[in-house]
Amino acid sequence: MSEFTRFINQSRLFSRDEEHRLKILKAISTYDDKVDQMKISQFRDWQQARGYASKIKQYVLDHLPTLLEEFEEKISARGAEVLWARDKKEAQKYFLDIAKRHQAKRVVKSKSMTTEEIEFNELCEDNDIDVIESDLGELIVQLAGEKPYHIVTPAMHKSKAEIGHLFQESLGAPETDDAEELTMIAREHLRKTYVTSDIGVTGANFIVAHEGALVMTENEGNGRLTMSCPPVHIAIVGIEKVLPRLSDLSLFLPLLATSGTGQQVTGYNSIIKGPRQEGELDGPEKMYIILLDNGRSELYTKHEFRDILCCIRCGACLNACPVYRTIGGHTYHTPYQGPVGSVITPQFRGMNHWSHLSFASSLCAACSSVCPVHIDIHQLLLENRWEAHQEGKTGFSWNTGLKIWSWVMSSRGRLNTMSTLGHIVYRWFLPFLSRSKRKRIPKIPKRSFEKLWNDYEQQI
Amino acid sequence: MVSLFIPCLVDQIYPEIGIDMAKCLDYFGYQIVYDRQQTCCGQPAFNAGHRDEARKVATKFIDVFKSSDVIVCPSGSCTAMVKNYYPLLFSDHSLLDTVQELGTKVFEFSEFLISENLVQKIQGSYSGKVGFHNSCHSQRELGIDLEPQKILQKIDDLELIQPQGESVCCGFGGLFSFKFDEISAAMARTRLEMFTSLGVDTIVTNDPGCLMHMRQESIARHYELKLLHLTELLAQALKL
Amino acid sequence: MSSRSDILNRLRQPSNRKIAGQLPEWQDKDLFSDYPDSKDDLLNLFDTQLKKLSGSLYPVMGFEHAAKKLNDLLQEIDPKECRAHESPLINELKLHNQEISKYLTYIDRESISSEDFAQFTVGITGADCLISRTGSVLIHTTTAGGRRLSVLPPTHIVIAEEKQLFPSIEDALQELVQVKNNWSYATLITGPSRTSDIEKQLVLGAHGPKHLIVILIKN
Repeated sequence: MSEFTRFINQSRLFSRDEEHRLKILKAISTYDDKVDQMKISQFRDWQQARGYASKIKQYVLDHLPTLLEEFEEKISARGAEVLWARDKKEAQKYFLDIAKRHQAKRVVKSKSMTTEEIEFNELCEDNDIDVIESDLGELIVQLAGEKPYHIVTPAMHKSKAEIGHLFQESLGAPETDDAEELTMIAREHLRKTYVTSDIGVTGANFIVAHEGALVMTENEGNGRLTMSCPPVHIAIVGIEKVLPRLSDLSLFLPLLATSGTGQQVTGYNSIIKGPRQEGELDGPEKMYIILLDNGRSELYTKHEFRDILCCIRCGACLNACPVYRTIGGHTYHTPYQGPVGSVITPQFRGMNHWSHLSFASSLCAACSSVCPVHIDIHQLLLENRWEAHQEGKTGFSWNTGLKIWSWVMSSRGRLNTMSTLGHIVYRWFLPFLSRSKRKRIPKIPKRSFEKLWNDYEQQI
Repeated sequence: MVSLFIPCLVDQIYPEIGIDMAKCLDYFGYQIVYDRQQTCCGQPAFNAGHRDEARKVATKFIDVFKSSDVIVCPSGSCTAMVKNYYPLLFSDHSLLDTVQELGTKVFEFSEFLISENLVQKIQGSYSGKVGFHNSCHSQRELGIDLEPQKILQKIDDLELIQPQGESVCCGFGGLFSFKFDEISAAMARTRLEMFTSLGVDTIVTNDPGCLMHMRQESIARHYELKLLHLTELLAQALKL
Repeated sequence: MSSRSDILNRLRQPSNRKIAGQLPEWQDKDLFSDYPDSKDDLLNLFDTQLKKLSGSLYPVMGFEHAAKKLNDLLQEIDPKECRAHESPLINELKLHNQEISKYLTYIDRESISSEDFAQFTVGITGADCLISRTGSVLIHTTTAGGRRLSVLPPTHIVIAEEKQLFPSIEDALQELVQVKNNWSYATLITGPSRTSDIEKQLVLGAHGPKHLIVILIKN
């Protein structure tokens, strides 16, 4: 089944599912209120903050190679090993080499989109390495054998009862549907994991170039534990996640938290400058940083698309997107969902199978209006559509149809002729369209405006 | 002298919107001109990724309107196409200067009324609980926010019930409503339900695409709602 | 060609894009509302923010009272296993109140496995600075006694002094940059651990500490 067919089928199911639609709407309206409130209460001028953030990320784009080198130099001086991964395969190979070197049998990981991108869990399973998700939402979907539903709240589609049942089955826990009790069950289960894991794997929210550090933000503390207990820490980060200076965090930490969860700042903002240093009481002996390219540098060379690399993965565009709200995260069938995912997935994975994501949008631009770093996401969707067309991915019917349409529409005479013909088509062929498509078509009047104008002109 | 820019959707499907706009402009004392050679701004092709086809149609548009003084359009999305996207479409083209000039002369209907200080001249009434649906293009491409509300507030007997926050998409999106019809319909339902939950009996919008889409879904699902274009409501209120 | 060169070469390809220009500079007081202006504001706002996050603050006058407060808290909690990181500040408190010694065991003297560490119920650390605007505590591995002490035990007690109270995050970051020794890890702690992953319901103590207590010594 093609990805397009799968998308159409699943999106249809969700579009018809009134209960799902209302559930998601409720979750998102709570988020909306929190976020809108925080934008007003924390920032003197949210638009000004966005402006600064956008300028900083644009600067990063302009100087990306130099900043990455600076980061590498500084953090390597403290004993971290920086590895550059061209693509998913290379990143996977680095991990397997490290796991072998350290004879690792068990890995604990915190929430990271890059690990989804490189199919990390599947890789571990295929290589007999135990991998355990430590983020509560991610743990839930892992136990359920599902993919994350949303970039920030992976299990937002699951009810308390469903989770209780899941924990009972997979963890042998006593049955409960109380959120606090369920959280404590997960906590106990995971504490055993942190202290017995050989490697802790995380992503990172930011790469700080000048001071040579990684930044990780979270609320639960599982990321901190993942970086504190196991003897080896691996961080897998996209190469675009750079900020120039540590001081930029005074803007970006509140900005990210406000857009992502409506918080002032996230509960734990950790700055990691390397593995355990001389004189420190604990911490991983070895730290590896896998800088992941996987299509980013290629996208970087396409200048009209470069802006999407400013993305700080806050999830705001997903929450704002009325399409996402209707079809949910799983329908996209990719790690990166919603508007940003619809821009980068066809670019990273090819227009051949994925261009439909860029077309599945009404171009309402809500994404662009909430993006904290001022990316004009909806315009990049348009660019993707143009590229898809140029690559011949828009299909014979649409290509022919729109060619005819543009020929007709460039002449009033032709339009009038087609309009007359169109009335005939409308009357005689309408019954052949599917019911749902037929309902969409309104009554077409006998006389167009152009025809009515004569009468009107005479009246006045 | 005001030139009417009649979107293809209005020309073919909702000509009454165009007539009502002409009546309103006449009421405000403007001399109106309609160039019947106009067809479409080219947006459907542009949004579908077919830029060459869009440019062909846009070239016709430019030819028709290049000498106009002021152009008024009952559609935020069509206005935005000309203002914001023609420069992109003609970026490497000899018509770029013409296009940029054209962009300064084209206005969406409510935008025009406000900029010409015409709201104070409105003397009319419409009885109903009205919610205004701001089209996404009006809001986010043209920055139109309170203009339509100001117009509606001037009308006697009209109870304006406005949802909080930014306007959410009705789901039309041009060819999106055809290619992804069920997602599009569900989005329309979400939008309609938001209005009905506020007790609205009339939804007014400034985009014919939004109007068509919401009207069809409303009819299909038997919502108790009247859906009007801003020009229709204003013409009714002014008894034109 | 190595992957590194491959990637960097692609990133270095010539571009006709307009260059963004200089990096913007700002001060937090111009960007953020609720910026504490006076000394009183600093403490009051920190108190308000920390309470909102369900953290606890005990401002006390001098080391004597601080030691007594710590003793009272530990008596109340009656921890099975309390651990602290040895610092001049803790030693000062011990001088003022011998009682707390019976609760305090320093982690600095020996290497402790994570399995053992997970049995501790209270962790006591110092702080690098306190941030008023957000109610946050900044610690790096030196003040924190490593990485685990402030995150594994379910109760985290922070001993800090009023002079460590700063207005906003920019101040914390400046402090970090000025630290002389080579620290590998710092964390800005804003309230106890929390999650809303289950039906958006807020639960404290997801993985990190459920209780965050700050004893603030006023001079």
